[in-house]
Amino acid sequence: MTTDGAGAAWMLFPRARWRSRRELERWIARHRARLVRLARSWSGDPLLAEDLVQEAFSRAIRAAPSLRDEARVDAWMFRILHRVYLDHLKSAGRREHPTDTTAMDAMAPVPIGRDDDPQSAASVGECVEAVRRAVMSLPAPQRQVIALVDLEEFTYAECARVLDIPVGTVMSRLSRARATLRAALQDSSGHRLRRVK
Amino acid sequence: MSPESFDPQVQAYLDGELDAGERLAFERRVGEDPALAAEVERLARLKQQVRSAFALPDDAAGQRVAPRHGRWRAAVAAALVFGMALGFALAHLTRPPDPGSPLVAGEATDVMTRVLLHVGTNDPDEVRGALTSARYILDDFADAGRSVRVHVVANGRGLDMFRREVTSFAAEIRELEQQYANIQFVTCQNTIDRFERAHRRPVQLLPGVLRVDSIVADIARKRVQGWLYIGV
Repeated sequence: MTTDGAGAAWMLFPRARWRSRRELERWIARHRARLVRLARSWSGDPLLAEDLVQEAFSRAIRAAPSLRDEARVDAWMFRILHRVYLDHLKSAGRREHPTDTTAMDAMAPVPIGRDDDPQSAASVGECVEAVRRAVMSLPAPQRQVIALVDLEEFTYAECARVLDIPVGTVMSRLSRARATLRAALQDSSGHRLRRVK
Repeated sequence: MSPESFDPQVQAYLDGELDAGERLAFERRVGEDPALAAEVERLARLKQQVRSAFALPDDAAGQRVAPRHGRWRAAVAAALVFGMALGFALAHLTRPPDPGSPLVAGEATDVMTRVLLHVGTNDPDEVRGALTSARYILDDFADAGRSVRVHVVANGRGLDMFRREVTSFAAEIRELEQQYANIQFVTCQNTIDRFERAHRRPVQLLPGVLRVDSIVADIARKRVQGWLYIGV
């Protein structure tokens, strides 16, 4: 049995009234990509991220009977992924991650500057690398919050529910993370990032 | 020494956590305080950098976005081609809730629906229709007790709806902003730059209108994040 295909989704959400199999496949593809992206931003490792998402899907299938409202699938799946990630940290005996982001090259950088600026492209890779390195240097709890708010555009309340922490903790972690990122990017390559922008 | 934090209200503003009244008051402060405006710009840039550094693949099959503009534009075009038609989207969004549906049973959903209304024309009837649609969506979701966020984004000729000297929709836009906390008006810096180069005068925007560098890039990014797209 696959855990990332449409068949698994039928098992996951038996009450969902998908209008077509194609629509369902799009749903799976869209949400899987988001989960993998989030896992990559948390772990810094594309291969580990794939494993975390696979484990999350496996747990989701087992926990499917507890899902009463498929409109809440997003938050439900993100919560499961969060728990999988915490379990990984515990089993690895650490709460932090190496800051080596070379393994993240598999992720696709997109232009940071304006899309009609021909001078932007040359430095995009360096900028992306600097930002990734700075993000991966954050403590894991801060990295989780900034990924949910800035990548997934979750509200503070949604983020708090996914991570099972108070909204105030979301805000304080977010504030510390951004202050650290600002300092790191200004110190290391801020002038280049500003120029590219 | 701990690093310098961003102003909490700047963060709340850019994270969409302020209600309509707070947002308008904050934007007035930004208009009067260049230092605060610079801080908003710095955090907006940081958020954009984080998003760009962890971009999603450009399609469902996991195909990657190459760091080349031509490829990026192709991805944008594909995203727009597959955007929903207005009629279908509204029919889907405003379908009466089924009392037996788990979608509406029990407690309210905790992940909101996000809708992009894209205006690329200055035809008054089309623009009016877009604003009416925005109101329709916001009211419908509110009635159903469901969360929704609506971004009305305009570029090209659509910029006129936000230009102070020509728009005939200033009052309606202001009313929408005051009535709903979950609507945001957004335009494109590239369009503004082109206008200013062509007409040799600055664009004066209505208060509260946010700028992004490229509206098409913003649309593409939001599409892959699951935003519903409605083109006008």
